[in-house]
Amino acid sequence: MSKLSAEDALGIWQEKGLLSREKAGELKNALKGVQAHDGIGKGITIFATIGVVLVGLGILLFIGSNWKNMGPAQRMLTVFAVYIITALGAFSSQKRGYEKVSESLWFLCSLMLGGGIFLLAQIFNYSLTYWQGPFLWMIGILAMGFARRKQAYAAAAVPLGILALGWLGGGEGWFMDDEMGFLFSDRGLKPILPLMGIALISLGTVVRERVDWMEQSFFKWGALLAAVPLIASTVDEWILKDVFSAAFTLKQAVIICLAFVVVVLAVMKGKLRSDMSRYALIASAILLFAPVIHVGGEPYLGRLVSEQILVFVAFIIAVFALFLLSVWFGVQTSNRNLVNAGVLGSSVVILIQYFSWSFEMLNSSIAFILGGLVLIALSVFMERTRRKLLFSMK
Amino acid sequence: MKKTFFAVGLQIAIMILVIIPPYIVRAIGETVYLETEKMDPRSIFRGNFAILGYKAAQGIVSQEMSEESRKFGKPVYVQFTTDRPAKFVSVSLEKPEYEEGRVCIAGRVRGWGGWNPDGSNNESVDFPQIAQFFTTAEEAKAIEDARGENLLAKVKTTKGCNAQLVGMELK
Repeated sequence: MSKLSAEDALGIWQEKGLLSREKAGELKNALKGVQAHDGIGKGITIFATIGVVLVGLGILLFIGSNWKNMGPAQRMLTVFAVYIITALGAFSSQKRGYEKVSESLWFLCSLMLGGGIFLLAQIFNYSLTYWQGPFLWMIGILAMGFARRKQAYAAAAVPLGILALGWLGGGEGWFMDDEMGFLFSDRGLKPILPLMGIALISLGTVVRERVDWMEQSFFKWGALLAAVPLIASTVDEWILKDVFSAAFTLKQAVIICLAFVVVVLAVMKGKLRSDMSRYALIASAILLFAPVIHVGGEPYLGRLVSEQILVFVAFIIAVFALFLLSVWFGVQTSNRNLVNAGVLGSSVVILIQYFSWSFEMLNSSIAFILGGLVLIALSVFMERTRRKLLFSMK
Repeated sequence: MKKTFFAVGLQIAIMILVIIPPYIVRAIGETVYLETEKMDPRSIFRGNFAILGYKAAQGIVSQEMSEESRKFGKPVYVQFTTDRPAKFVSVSLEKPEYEEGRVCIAGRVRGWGGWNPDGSNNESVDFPQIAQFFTTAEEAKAIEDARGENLLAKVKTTKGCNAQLVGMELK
């Protein structure tokens, strides 16, 4: 539906006999004095956000460049002073009615918290993989999220939670792991990320009513965690085995169990759009856990896919079908995010297959030209399909 | 607004929380001087720092203990004397009882497999909490060059086997 002015809409409703002339006049009068949405609000948010990021970066650079000249006490004072000044700025702008600016500054406070935690930790030579850092930062961000009720806080809290969980232990003994080890190691989170994604989506449905600002971010992060390893596995036949290869450490076992508990909780208590959603959650959890199942010390599905090209092709088709299924399911349950994720996921699978095969079969210049055309055609297809599907849900 | 004030208070409390434990360790901890070992930096994300390994923690964990530690994610507890430089006493999976003239530091088995000059397969132990020393680029370079027997790490340790790297000193 194209955007209509309130006046046009009132006229259309009168023409269709849905609204009396008197009532239309009443409604029109009620709008007097109310400022029209002219797009400036978005502009302010964008400017304020960019401003906040620049200020944040500037402060961190200033602290960084003067760090060596400060003693520990000065360093601590600087970190706390920067935070308090930011909070005072946020409070003051809120008092004066600059809502968007104050929201940006409150968010900057949470960014300053993260910078502060790691700068303070550095004074005491704590490791970068000091997992308590992202964990404490996440707690601080969630607290501010509960106060401000904005999605951005949940969106920031999720990766921090993953980072804290990844650096916690890492299966290598006690409390620390290498920086990125948790994303690439068999002992880290890598093989269970998709299952964690489903658990996150499930958690979003459980908290939907009470903590509405969390659900969207939980869904988006959950979909990303579930989709990326699957999509990556379609690039080459050995990747599925590598991605889902797990050492089954105590941490991994606990996370797997907790993920299933959250899914079951969502199925029983979650505010889901339909009964179909309950079945879909269970099916997704089982489907995404299946590649983690090991037989003879390696992932069973991964081994099959890596050994037989036909199984690999079947796997690609299955992943593609899964994304199409999520589009269909999104339309059935009026879930825009699911439709978007499904359209995007299936398009990326097509793109990967194009680049996987074309460079082997075509001259590189033709492959590039055709690749560009495929991308353009895919973009047009995605835009049309997405628009059509989203419109059909209204 | 009350909720926002609470969130701000909590965020400030969190920052304070970061600095309390190390101050406690520094205040009540016992000092130990550990000989540093030459190690290559393992990270590109840490800014100016020196990566530190410790001589007395090299090749001290048997394969059996290493496997158990890694399998169950258990820390290992290394006991040292309080001599300057400290000498290795024992390593175990359980926290040792406190003894006069001895300190313990919790660490993790490195997990690279053992290939020691003496031919043993014993694994080494890392102490992630005292494995890096943040400083200026120039000092970090000087420390990198001086690591080894000439450079001692001044470490504060508690009875609970926590450790804090306080500074670096020449032997």
